[in-house]
Amino acid sequence: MDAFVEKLVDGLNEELECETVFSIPLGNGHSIPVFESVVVTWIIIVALIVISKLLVRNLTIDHVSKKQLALESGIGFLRNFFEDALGEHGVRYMPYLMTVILYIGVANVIGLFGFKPPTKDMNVTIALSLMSIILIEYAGIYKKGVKGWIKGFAQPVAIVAPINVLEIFIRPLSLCMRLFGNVLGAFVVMELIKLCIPVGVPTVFSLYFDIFDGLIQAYVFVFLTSLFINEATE
Amino acid sequence: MTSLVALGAGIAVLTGAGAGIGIGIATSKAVESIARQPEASGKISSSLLLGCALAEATAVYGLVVAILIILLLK
Amino acid sequence: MLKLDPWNIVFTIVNLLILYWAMKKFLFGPVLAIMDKRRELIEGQLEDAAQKEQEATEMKAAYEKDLRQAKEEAKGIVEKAHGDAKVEYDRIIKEADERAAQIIVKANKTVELEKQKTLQEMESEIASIALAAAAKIMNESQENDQTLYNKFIKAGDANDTAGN
Repeated sequence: MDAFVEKLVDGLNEELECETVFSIPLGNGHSIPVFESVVVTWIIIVALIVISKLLVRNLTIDHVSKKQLALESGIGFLRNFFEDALGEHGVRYMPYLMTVILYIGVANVIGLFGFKPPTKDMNVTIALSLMSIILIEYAGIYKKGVKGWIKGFAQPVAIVAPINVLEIFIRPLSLCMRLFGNVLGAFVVMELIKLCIPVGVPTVFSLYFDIFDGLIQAYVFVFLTSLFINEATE
Repeated sequence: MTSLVALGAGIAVLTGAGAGIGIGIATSKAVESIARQPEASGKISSSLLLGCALAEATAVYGLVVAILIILLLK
Repeated sequence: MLKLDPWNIVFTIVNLLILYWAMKKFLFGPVLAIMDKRRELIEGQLEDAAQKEQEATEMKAAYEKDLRQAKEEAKGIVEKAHGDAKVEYDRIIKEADERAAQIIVKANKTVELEKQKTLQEMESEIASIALAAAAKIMNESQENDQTLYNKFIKAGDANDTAGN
């Protein structure tokens, strides 16, 4: 039993360890490590750009090809979803949220292609949630002005102002931990299943944990962000 | 020491119970409201998904804490 | 996983911004632009169709109005023609009546004249015949020729009146 636990812990540690792919020397003896998640993100960016370039070629208004139809229905679905969730004042942030759902979706399922999902690195989820909270507060300031934004903390009554201020920190923390925890949890469960039954069964569970759960988490992340933006711009 | 660590991890994972109860209540209410108003099922599903994601977060926090306990204290 | 590193957070943020820019430029921009363009096109076509329909309706109303007017006009013309025809008819009938009356009067006159002429002719002839007869008789008996002559005339007159 001890051997089993040892094996599990070692496997998890190895998988969870953020490898430093290379380091940028600063000259004064220190160096900046570049983690695997950043490199995988570069790969994702390049892949997404190449795929977009291929998909966006030869777009026409009439004589729509099947490829274009699929592309348009996908983007149209995203657009309807965000227009609903963001409200009329938040629509200008739609492209960013579309980018984020695309990135998190691809990042969560990229494990299927043999890369380590970047969302399993807490640095990435922290960056994502930082961007989200900056966008949320920026949207509030843009809509209401600095004064209105500050006054917004005393809504609905002044006594809840500390809680509202606390929310600025709680929201990104919750977003970050939810995404990270879900991806990590799905990964750990998958590792356990693989340890117990190495053949056949993991494939079925992988469908749920890697694909479905990954996409749901991407959806939840941008859905919550857009709800917060909607709330901030109201 | 190992057994204490295992116990701590197990207790941390108990947060899942709360999440389970919460998601169960939310889903039962959602099913009821869909039965009452089938035409609003789209909105109900999206609210349910949001609620589930929020409730599930506690379970996930428990899981993260359990894993941290195992990995850091083993 | 637990190696938090500010540099990597910054790298990821920069990556996200690059991805945002790239996606906006290469994917969402063109696709949303083309979807908007198509929507505008369709809306334009719908508007066009609505406008055309309105125009058609207006034209139809105008045509119907014209048609109604034309019908009324035609009815008026027919009525007027009827009236005119009646007047003309009456006039012609009246004229014909007058003419007929004139003709009859004239005919009567002619007949009268003819009669009188005939009468006169007959009278003169009878007179001549009578003269001849008288001469003949005179040749036979000259005594009462004047009396006979008068007698004969009277008898002829009586006969004539009876014959009429």
